[in-house]
Amino acid sequence: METNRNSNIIKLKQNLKYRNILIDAFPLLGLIIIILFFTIITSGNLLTLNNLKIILNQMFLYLIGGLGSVYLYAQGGIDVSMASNIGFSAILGVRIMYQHVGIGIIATLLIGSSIGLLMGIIYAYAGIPVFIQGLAMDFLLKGTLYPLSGFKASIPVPDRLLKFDNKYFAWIFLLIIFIFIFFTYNFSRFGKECRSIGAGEIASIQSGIKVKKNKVLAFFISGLTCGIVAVYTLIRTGSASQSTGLGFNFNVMLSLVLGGCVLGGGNGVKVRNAVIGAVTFVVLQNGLVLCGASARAQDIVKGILFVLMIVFTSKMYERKV
Amino acid sequence: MKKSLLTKIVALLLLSIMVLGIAACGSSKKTEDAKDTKEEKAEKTEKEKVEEEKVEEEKVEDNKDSISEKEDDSSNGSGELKAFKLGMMDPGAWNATSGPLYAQMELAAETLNVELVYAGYDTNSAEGHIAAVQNLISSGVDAIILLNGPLIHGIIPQIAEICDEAEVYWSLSWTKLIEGNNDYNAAVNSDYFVSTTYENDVYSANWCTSILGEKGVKNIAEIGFEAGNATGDMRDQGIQEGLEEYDMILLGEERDITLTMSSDGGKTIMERFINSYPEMDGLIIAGMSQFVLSGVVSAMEANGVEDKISLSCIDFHEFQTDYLKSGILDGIIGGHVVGPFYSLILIANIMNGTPLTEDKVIVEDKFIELSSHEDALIWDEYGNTGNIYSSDEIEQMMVVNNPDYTIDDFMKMIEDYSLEDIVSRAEGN
Amino acid sequence: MREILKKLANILVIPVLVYLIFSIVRPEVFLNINTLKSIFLQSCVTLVFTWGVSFIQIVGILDFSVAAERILGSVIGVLLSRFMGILGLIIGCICTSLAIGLLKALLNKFIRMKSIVITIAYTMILGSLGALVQGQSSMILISEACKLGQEPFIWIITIFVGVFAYILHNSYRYTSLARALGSNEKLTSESGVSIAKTEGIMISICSFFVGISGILATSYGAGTAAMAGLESMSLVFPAVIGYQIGKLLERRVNIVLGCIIGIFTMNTLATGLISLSIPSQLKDTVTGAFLLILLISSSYLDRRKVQLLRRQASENRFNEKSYT
Repeated sequence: METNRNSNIIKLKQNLKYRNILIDAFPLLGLIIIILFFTIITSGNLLTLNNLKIILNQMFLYLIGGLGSVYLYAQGGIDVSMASNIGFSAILGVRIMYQHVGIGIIATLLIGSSIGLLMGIIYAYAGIPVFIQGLAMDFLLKGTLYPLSGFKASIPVPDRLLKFDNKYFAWIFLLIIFIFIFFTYNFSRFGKECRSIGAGEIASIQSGIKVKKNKVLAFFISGLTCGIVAVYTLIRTGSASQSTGLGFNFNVMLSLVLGGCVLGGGNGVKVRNAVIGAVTFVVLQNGLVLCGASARAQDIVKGILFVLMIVFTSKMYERKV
Repeated sequence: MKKSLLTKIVALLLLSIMVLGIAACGSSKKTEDAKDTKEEKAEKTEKEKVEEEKVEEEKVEDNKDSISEKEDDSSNGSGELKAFKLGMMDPGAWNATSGPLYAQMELAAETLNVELVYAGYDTNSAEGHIAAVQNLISSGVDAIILLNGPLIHGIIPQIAEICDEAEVYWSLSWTKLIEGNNDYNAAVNSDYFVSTTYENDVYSANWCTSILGEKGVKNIAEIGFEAGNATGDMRDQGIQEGLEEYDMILLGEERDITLTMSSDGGKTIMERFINSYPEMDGLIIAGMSQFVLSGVVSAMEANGVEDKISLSCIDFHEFQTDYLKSGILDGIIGGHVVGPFYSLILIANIMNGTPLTEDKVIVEDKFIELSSHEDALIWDEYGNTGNIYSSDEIEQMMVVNNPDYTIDDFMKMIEDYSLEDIVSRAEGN
Repeated sequence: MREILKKLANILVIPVLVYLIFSIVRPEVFLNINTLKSIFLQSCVTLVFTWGVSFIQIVGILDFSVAAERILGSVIGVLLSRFMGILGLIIGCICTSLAIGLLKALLNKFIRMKSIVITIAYTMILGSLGALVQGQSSMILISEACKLGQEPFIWIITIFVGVFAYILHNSYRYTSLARALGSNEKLTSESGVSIAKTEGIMISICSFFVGISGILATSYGAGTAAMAGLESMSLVFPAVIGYQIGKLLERRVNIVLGCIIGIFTMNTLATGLISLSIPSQLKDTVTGAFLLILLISSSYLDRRKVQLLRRQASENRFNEKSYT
């Protein structure tokens, strides 16, 4: 009798385990369905070598952006000023790059991360809603872009920067970032504390987590990510202007959610969300153009797909035991 | 119960998405053809191309007689034309300025056997534009026409590289390339660059300023593009020159896109101007009149300053005819909607193996100036319909149909573009 | 009396200070009743919109799609006004907004709008629908149908809507529940409050207000224009900012009045910056800096007040203890 009960429990546990794996794998399944759908409808054009290259190329920045935002999203935060931060660091960075390319790159990273740091300090110590804080900072930075660019529509980057346009180097760099973030997010104290803050801030404070320090650090990393994205955007677009990085904040958010990220923070935020999300987001955009849909239909289909993905991921997450 | 309802809703959503997807992708049949043509194209060596051109020319000669026979029934002409795919950016919602542009493009596409493919871009970012170009190329387009120069300045070298690598012809519209800078060099050095058409934006803004200057206006305000927009900068330059010429003062400006993209925003801007500058006697809307003009007019009427404040604008508006009639509007300049169409003609001739020229075409396309009610009535009748160049005329712009057509005729057509030209052609037809 | 005056001073300090600064710099503009009237007039449309948004913001929903919803309503309203005049505009705006609101409320049971991304997805769908419905037809309103956006009707409507919003915020059961949900969802739902129902009601109320603001915006500006994609999202920001300033004052004043102060302050700032001929691009920076300073300082002051109260309370307790 006892052994029978035990075996039942073991069976139940196993079932739950499989169910949880299935739920975790849902965003991946979604991605596979989307890929299949577009492959069929474009009669295989989606998976041609050239198009795969384009997809890889386009998802690069979203991958970096998503990975760098993971800590902040785990805390339940969001950085709306990301787009302006990228534009701001890119424009200032280019101007310094004309003096010295290396120093310019470092300066771009420093500028991005200092804005992140400032945002983090305000977020941790001023206690204003994080969205409105980001919006205010976005306004503040956006207004300075034109004067900073010397009242020009765009500034071309110095030719020496374009030498850094090495795809292999870029992907190795991304791999290093991925490995670093994967391990720090999943296994370090900081990563665990971020998730714990997202799950319950008050409980985290009471259990001795230095919430404020963590918040500052998460924003700092998000700012540093903006710096990295700024450098890569400069290399890829060859110029800095007010449209550099425009809309990046919302695109990163959309791609993370498509990857199964739970916006409330906590355990629902995973590193893989950034990876799956970036692929899904880019495949979706690419596939809709590929099948020759009208612009209006593209938006509607995209909107409905977003809704579906979010419904599924959040419902699945709720059911997870 | 809950679960079943959820399942139903999800099923409904899924169904709708499938229907939409299938409806939206209904045109994907041609993809294969386009793919084939592209592969073919890639295989062709330069020699073969030259040979083929020769053969094509001979063909044209042979066709000469048959075409003249068919002249009465010119609609058959399009049957000879080679089908190809043309990529363009998402036009956005219809308005009085972009509406005629896309109407003219669609008419030309239909006439020339061209399939138009649109790329949506969620933001106006530089990265977004590059991604859109890449996606269009992946979808198998043979050529791309890019609009909105102000947004793509600085990334033209990248676009050139992408298009050259993919062997896709590309053209720019509404984009002025300044000789010697990176964008210009990248474009003219690209093997697949066809043309750019641009407006003289310094002139358009200067025209607006002079309309006010002639009326004796001294203190003006401006509603314009966001700072840092290349088109906006040129228009500002035009206004500045006008200010000096007529000894006027620019009191203030508004460029906030949360206001300049809607008519209620336009009214709010005008309310602020009227209160902040009691001495204001003129306003220039240097772009986006299609959104703000009706709000501005409404504010002027509400404050009773119709007679005190003179008004001139860039970009056409649906009610311009009425405003010109009532005298509240003193002049409006726009109608710069045929640039992409010119590029399409060049590209279509290349695709049919009869390029009009081997050179890169960099040409200014003209504005239409409306300063009276009568002018506006003419534009309403002939221009607004998107039928500025009729399908018969379009067919005759193809060397395959009309072997006598040369680049000089083409350039003259662009040079002649004006209200009188539109009327005479329409009546001639 | 002194208490009331103190309270009044507390509330009005921000707008009056901003107005005063500009009055000193440009007295001929700001010491003029017409300017004051004009700033209030500019505020009407945004105000009604902000009041609507306030109902969902108290539950913690930040909906980017409300602007696209308003525009879709306006587009249908303008089309209907061709046949039915003002009535068509009213029916088009309110019915469309309400229908979308109800649909959102219904879907909210499964698709929680707490997630910002959902609202972005809605924006894409509604924006494209607006562009599709508009097609190639003119979106300019005939002048007979513009009356509601002109004086005195715009004042009357705004005041009525304001009173209605005030009543809803103060005496409607579900608004209190919504506020409770907004501050602690878990606790409130465990005490038997239905999240879906409360949020649904708030979303519907919001869309009703959005519909009215659509009528006002369309007839105020004599037309509308569809915005495809995510273009309309930036139109929500002024309302969010107005609400947040209102929320800062929530301890001292009702949120409906708070929103008036918020929107009035932002419009005074905008008019002031125009009157000073400040380059347009720097206006964003000034606005952002102003907002940050305002938010940080008021949150600091509030926290200090709480600390002081706590200290006082503990001192009192200590005194009580020492007496016994």
